[in-house]
Amino acid sequence: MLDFLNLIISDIKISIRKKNESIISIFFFIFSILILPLIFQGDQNILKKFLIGIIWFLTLLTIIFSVEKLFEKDYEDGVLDQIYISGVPLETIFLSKSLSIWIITCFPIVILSPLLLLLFNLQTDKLINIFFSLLIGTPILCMIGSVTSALVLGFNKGSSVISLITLPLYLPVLIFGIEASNSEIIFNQISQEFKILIGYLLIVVAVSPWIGGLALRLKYR
Amino acid sequence: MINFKIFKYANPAKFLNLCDKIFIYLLVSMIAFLFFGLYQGFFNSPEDYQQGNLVRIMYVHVPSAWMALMIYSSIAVASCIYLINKHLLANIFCKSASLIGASFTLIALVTGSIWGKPTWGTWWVWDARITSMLILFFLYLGHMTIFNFSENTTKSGQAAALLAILGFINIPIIKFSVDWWNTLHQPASVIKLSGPSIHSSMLIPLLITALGFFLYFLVVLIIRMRSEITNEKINNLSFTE
Repeated sequence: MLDFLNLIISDIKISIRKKNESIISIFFFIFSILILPLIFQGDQNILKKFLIGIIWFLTLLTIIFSVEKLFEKDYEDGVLDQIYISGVPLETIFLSKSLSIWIITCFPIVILSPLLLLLFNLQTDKLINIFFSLLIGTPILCMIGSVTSALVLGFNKGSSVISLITLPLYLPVLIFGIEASNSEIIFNQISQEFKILIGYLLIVVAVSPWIGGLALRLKYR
Repeated sequence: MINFKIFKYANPAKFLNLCDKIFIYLLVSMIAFLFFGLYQGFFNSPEDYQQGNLVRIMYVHVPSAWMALMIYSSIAVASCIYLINKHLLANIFCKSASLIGASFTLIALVTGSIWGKPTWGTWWVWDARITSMLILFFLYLGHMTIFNFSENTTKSGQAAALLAILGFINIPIIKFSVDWWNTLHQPASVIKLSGPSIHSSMLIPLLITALGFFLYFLVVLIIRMRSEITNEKINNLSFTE
């Protein structure tokens, strides 16, 4: 448990000090949202209609960018070897890595996106919906992305392969996430789409550490 | 370790022996079922009151879609068995079944779009069922690419098995996509809780064709697995020399 926390803290520290891709990708997200009015030529109605889908799509892209080099860097400079030799289970390494990437890239996105959407005159309950659906959906995306990047680590393949493998796995989350963001909140009742999303999250959290650990083990055999 | 009685055939030699015995029966029954089912479907079954003769595409479209889903599920199960028990045969099954599944998915998509042009007016609609079938096709493609990553069959096989298990979440989504969303694609009419809502004059040829497709899968699977096993033997020979 202590290893787990230490790994997360050190990852966060490193990425803040080095200002690597995971931090830069947040600026990619913010900048692309602010560019949107230019794309739609200032047409508020079209923009409002597609805004939620675009937000989800940009989130997905940001996560793919930040996840693709997740284990590669640590493997190249030997940090991953050192952690592995010191007796930390690979499952713990995997879980700490994917959790730290969530804290570094996705947590700012989750916090920022409702604030950014305030600029586009959306209703308040829509904003709450988007916040919660992103909060539930982004860990799923992070975990799946970490699994595939761990899978590819064993084979010395380029990052284009990662997106080929990852995108089909992301699409269900995208579909349910957008449905959940658009769903109506009735008092004290979670809508069906949110329940599906939460169920998906629980499955992925339960399964992916083991799959990720096995995937990392492919490199160390 | 999980242990079932059927695992005694996990030995490739025993498996090949079994295949040699049953192959000819499978081949003959496949030809019989396919010809009978397709003949019944194409010439002997009634026309649809709305679509006329167009409905006969169903006898190819529906069984291949079923097969696409079934093959992916069986790959996921075999991947679990491979990861837990390390049977080489499970890996070979995944490797050879993947291409067949992908081609069944492609057949379902293509016949669906041929069917969609006269009935819906377009070749392609982005509705839930069609899109999720397309995702399944991409999943198959990803699964097949991983096998080509490395010469080491165990390593690439394990990676592919992990991916197959992770992608299994899509299967229920594809199955229930027509019930959950209000889509252009019609809802399930054969496999559902309240029993099939399709008349028996159409249902029986459909089921016979589906059985024929399944036997076709088994026949092609056995041929592919044989060649894979031989390939594996050659690889082992070249490693030892």
